[in-house]
Amino acid sequence: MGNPYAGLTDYLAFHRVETNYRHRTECDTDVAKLRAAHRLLKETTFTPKLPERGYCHRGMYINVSTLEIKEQPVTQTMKDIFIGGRGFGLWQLWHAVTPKTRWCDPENEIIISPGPMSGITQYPGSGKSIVVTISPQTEIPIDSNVGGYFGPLLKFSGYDFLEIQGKSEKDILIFIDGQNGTVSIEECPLEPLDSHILAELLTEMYAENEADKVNISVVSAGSAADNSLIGMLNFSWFDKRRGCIRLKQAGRGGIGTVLRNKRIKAIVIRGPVVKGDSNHPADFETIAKTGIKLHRELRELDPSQCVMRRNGTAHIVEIMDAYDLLPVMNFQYGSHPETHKIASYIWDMRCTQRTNDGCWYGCSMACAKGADGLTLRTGPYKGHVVTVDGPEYENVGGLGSNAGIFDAEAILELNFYCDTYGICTITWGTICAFVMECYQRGILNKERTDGLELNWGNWEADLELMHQMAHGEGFGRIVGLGVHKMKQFFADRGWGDPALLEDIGMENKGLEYSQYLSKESLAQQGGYAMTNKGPQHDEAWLIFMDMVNKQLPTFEDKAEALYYFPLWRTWFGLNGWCKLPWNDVSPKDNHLRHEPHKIPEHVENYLAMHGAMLGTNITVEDMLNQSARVYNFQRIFNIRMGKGLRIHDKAPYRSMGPVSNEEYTSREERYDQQIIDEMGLEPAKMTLEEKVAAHRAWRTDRYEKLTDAVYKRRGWTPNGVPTYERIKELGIDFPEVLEVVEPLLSQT
Amino acid sequence: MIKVNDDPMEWRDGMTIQDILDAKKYKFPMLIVTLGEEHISKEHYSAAKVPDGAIVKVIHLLSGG
Repeated sequence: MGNPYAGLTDYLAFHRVETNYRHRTECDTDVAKLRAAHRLLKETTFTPKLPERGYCHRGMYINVSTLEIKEQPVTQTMKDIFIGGRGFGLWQLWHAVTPKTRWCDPENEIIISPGPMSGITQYPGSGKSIVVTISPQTEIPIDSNVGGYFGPLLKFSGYDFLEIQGKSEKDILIFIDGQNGTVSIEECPLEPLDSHILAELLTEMYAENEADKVNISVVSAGSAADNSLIGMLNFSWFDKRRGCIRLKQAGRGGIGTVLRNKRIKAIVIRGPVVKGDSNHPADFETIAKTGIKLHRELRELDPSQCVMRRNGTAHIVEIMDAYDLLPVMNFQYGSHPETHKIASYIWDMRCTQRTNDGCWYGCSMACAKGADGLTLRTGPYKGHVVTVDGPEYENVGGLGSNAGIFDAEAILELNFYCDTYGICTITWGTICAFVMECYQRGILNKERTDGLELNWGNWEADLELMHQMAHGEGFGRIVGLGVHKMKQFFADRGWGDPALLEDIGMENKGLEYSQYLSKESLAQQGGYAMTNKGPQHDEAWLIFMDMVNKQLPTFEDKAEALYYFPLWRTWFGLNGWCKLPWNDVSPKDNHLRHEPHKIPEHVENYLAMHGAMLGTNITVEDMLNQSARVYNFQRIFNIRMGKGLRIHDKAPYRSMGPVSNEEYTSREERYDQQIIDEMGLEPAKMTLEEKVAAHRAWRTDRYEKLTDAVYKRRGWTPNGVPTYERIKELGIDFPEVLEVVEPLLSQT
Repeated sequence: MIKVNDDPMEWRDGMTIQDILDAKKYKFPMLIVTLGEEHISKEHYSAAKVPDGAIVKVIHLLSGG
């Protein structure tokens, strides 16, 4: 086999950027002037303290309407049932809202919780937080996990979660000083909104000196969060080597929109100096030893495995293409001849190597790559030289191939503006892919898009649309509603066939799909649409197991995978761990283990560290039950908010099979064979339309059968409601929980 | 004829594990390959000859997320 990238030498030479990773356009804003304009609205004090065995046993509540600031208890029940992170967020949110609460009501909250394991510096991927709120897109709880320093610094200041409620009348920021024990709410009229500037300015403003900057982390959104439902949160950390702030994102579900709806520009924390044992674990030595083992594994094996340390998650771009899984042109196709232009080796060269790319201390996986020296070609920062955080795989797939864009520099610019404007890259990618397909099919035209030619690959129009949305102008305002609401908007105006819009609009529960083609994996179709928050791959990515390895031949096998993996992944979000070090590197002797795809040694690592932190030992079964409590509680929370039933787990047909004749033709051999093998029909005697229809009937039926099997395995009724038995078994039979399910269970 | 992950595949004389991976475009770097009951490590993909009628499993270690 020859070099698949032969002939690209000129392209690579052109794109090789020899950058000075400290060179970027400096922000010339006068920080002192900004601070002088602040008006202190409230200040209170607290006693900073470090956690004991991972917990501080208190949370911080701030109401930005009433300016109330108080401590919230962390009870033993909370620890036993909800663990931390996503669990704490859901529990606090449950008590804050009613079934009638909308995302924009003052009662809605934003809860940030790092989890008991978060802040470990010995084991890679141990600095995560989970953010929970009622989503503007789905109107049910959203949970979004995020790196950056904020969560661990919050915990090391003395709090297991931060809970924000209310709505301010003016633009404010919250400053938590974990060194001096003060919390302040400050009016801040002059600060710009866009995150790459705002986080830089606030880091400068609140750090006492250069060395103190690593102790500052800023949570912010961006100007798009003011003008759309898809705003996200940036969590900063200071990159000492580059001399600038870096950003990680809590992307999904519009949490940034909620932040700005509360008129909060930023939440700033100044934590204490982080030490190796700041969590005060019960058994530090076990955590240290376990960490050393994985550091060694990464150093020795990553170069011949996923190369995460050089490319981050973008290492799978060409792999997804090879397996027909890369989303191309709104998930119509799974590969493209130009993928080599956005493949991992491009990012290997384009990102600065051997720098500080861990989004928390001690992460030797270091996948938070940064592309330095990008000169912007459009928008308000045109001509500025910037550092781009990324791109990750999802950004390349979403901002690139799914919009037919195979231009690396364009993807970087889209990535930069998504981050600074506060836009989820996954959401934007799927939205743009949808409107571009609508443009392709004549559902949209230049008149309806205010002159934008949204053809596949037109990155300039894509960026213009993003600038419009960020500033609340033109067709961008419509796009900022998200796919779910856009479908209705188009249908109401007679733009396109509503049934076709339902088929090609890649959303479920109001959330846009992330960037994998699930058509040929029934298990993954369930892994997307049978989720709690909507179609994000962080519950279950089963495509290889199902489609390639053929490890899940029956509905029951798929249902078992859709039981285990969502619970396993939930556990990361309860504790404050990143999933990547679990299975983006594997031990040398992993093939000798039972169920090697679960990476058993790494599962043992996590259980060992959990025990070492808390001083209690748990089994895999205990771990699954911990997750199941929160998972089922979230399902019932969804029901309480008006979703969470079978009808809400319905998937758009584009995620299940070929919508159009062109899609069918692109995989004709495979689809014809399935007609013979699976349906017992003769494709040679059928028209193309008949074959497409036969596939729809077969695939839709299979999805329903899978739904039955999954619900049964999860202990739910055929309508998707957790049964009394399951609720009691899990110990979440609180009266307010039973009150939600009783009307539904009494019908069955 | 051989079977690769339960799918039939045309066999040819001299066929190696690497030939199968190339033909199937199995590019993912974390694989567990077995030929019958025998585990084949990465450094032996090009040398490991596949007999007619063989059962080959190529397990991709990316699952769950």
